[in-house]
Amino acid sequence: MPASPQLRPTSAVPLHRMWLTVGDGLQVQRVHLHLSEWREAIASNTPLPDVHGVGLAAALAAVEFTHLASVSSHIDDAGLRPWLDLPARYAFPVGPTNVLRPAAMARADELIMDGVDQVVAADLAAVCGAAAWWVGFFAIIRHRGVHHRSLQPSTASIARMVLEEAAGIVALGMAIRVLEEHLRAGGVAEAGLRMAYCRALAASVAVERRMPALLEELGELRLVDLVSMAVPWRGRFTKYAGGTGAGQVE
Amino acid sequence: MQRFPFIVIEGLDGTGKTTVRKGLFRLWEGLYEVTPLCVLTSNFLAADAAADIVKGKYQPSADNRDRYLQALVADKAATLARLVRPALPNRPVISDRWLVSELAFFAVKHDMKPGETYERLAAGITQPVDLTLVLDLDPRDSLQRAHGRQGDAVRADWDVLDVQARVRQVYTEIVSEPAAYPLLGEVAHIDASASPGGVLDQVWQALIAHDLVPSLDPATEAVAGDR
Repeated sequence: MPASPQLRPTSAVPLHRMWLTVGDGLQVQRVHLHLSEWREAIASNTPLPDVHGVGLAAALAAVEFTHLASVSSHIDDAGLRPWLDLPARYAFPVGPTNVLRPAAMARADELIMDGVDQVVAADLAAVCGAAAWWVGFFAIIRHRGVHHRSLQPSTASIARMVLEEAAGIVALGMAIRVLEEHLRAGGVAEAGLRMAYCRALAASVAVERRMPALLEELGELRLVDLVSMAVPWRGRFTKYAGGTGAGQVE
Repeated sequence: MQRFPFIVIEGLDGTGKTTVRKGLFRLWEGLYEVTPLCVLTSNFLAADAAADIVKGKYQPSADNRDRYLQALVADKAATLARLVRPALPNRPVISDRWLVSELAFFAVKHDMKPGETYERLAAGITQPVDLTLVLDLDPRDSLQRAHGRQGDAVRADWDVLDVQARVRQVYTEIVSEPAAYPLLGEVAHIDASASPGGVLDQVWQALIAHDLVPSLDPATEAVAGDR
């Protein structure tokens, strides 16, 4: 009979984690590349041409960080600091509440139903709030982008509820990353934390069924990249698995 | 030799095996940073046995019973040799069904005692599972879930209440005397009526209880699971 398992500790950084880092860089690059465009769309004070049910771009441009000062170092461990810093630096501090925020925050609320400590809750609230801003950013400049498969101008409109679903998925992905760092730091014995992570993983399994159709509804390349790389699913890193490098011609 | 565990998920259709498999895959890859290999109960790696597996599973008869059993042994032996054993030094292997489901199939379709089927299978299979997770759910509930799925996932001669109730009964008999089936390894009963997250948490706790996941305690980065 073979010997019992003797688990060896992992040492090398796994490839999927490197691809996650490469993807983070892509999103950060795109914000800086398109910041002027984003500001112009908001300043124009006209309804978004291709998103139904949102109204002015400003409705997608705000972020509300009630817990930003109290987030833990696990945000950095998870590689998520830029995901908070960019909205903190550029978001519109005044104006309407981001219309995608409720959908993103609902993810955090679902995960912590069994209770987690305040540090975990603050981290989850921060990343889920930021997720709404990131989806809003790329939605605002969506009409200037290209379709993810054809790379031709993307002309189809989308509904607000599609963006809300996207915000929930990006929030879920960021939440998973934060929870993993809290668990690695010794949180496995905490039932509420463990349960939050299990809920998040189960939610990512449920999301997988919907993902191909959602990506088609989003259509535009930058939104598709943002959402498709946010959570674990079978198509997450196909871009990098096929040999695409870090950058991409915009 | 250092190696990772061979984990099997068993349960009636509709008990959530796919969700557990995918959830466990994400748990291992995301938290423990090791990508598992997922396999199925039949992987069609013994080419000469493939036709007998298809016929024996979908057109079971007294005539093809023994050929089906032999084909299962050949396929599982090939799966162990070509996939499971080569993978375990580097990654866990998660199988969606393995032995318990076969014992139940032969009990229901061919009226064979589980112990008799087990002896026939064990004659050609030498690698035991480390942990068999049995997802348990009332067949009325599992059938409701199974029939709610899209596609052609249900079979008219199998996914019906009387058959599934019998399958569950066989599962219960097997799980009640795991010592009689050493190739199953440790056996954990999982309450599949819980939420998907709750089921995954039970599975994770079973892995922890049997020292089958690495320690995440930064102070004890040394090898876990020395037994």
